[in-house]
Amino acid sequence: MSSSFIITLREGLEAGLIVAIILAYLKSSGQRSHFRTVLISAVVAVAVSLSVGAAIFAIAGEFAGRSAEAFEGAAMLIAVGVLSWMVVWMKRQSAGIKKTLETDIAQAIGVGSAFALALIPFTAILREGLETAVFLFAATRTSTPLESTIGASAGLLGAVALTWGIYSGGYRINLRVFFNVTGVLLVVLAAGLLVNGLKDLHEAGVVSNLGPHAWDSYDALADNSQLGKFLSTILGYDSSPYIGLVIAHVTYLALALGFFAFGRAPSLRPAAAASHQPGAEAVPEPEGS
Amino acid sequence: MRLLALACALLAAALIFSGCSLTEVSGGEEITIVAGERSDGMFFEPAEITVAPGAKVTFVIKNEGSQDHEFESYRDGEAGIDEIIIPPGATRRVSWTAPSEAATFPVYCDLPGHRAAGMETALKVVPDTEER
Repeated sequence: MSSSFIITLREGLEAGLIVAIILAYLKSSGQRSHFRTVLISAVVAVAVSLSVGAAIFAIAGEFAGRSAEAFEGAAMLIAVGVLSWMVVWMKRQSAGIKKTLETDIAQAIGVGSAFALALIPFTAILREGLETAVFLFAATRTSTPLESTIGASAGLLGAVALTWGIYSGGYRINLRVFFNVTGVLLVVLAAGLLVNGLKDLHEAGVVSNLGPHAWDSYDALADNSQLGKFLSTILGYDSSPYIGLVIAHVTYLALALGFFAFGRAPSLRPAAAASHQPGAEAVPEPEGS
Repeated sequence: MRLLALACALLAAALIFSGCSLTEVSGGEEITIVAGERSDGMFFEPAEITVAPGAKVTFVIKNEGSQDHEFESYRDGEAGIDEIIIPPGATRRVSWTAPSEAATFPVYCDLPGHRAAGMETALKVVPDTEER
């Protein structure tokens, strides 16, 4: 539940900030007439993302036994890849996302193409939506559907509330701190997914050998106890992990957190200094994808 | 902040070392099951387990073999027991509550080739205790 909450809160806020940036720019440049196009485009992108998510769950339902484990394991590794790209590569690339969005919008309006304008929020939000769909699917493999639904819904509601609060100017949060904290949490979640994914592939026979068990801490903390299940979902806890899993876990954490800590940080300008326009003041640049 | 960290550390230590139910698996009658290999294949013993409807039990699975085994029954229509791996020489515990009506579920090791080698036991929920 907690992993689903973190995923939808962060991705939802990122998508929300993209819409907020676009609306703030249109508002400040006297182009309110294009609000409708942007909002419809955003809704369509969310709908497509939901459809893709539903398709992933439906396809997974067609598998059983080892093929299901292989599919889920592969999905978890894909989610780890997507997330790693998100927190590392996009951390470097997203510094100018606000300016890029504004330039693209100005060009689209300049040529008078509603389709080109609609495509900007659509592609940006679709990217966030697809990331969420893949990552959510992988995260829900280790929790019940009810827990995942509650967590994801709460995260999404939180994201909507934060976005609205930020856009309307009534609420300010330190986005750099927010995205740094959730970024670290997502890296930790991804490391857990990596372990669970490799374990699924091993049990499916796709990965043949992960070495001997490194230790056995079952008597101290059973991985099928309440606390053990929670830690297994969040951190990939295993009371008797294979050495291969331990190496993969530690290596991934070291690399991802290292890139996250030492990669070039985007410049989040103070909101009030970003623009003279009231609408743009409330919307700093998002970080990550 | 230091106080909070200390409280968290104490809580974690207390949970781990006090045998709190958060960290262990227990409850109800304990049913011991042995897993392993022999010359003609692999096995769970006993090959059949019976419990009363609604009974809460804890399976204590001992792997006396020389390789990993699993204990699970979680596909559609099965007992709803999540897989757990039992390393060679290790013991794992699984709590389970029987449904209120009579039923029979397969419980098996889903590692490649193990179930086909005979690693399956029948988990029977039998209403009449005299038949058990």
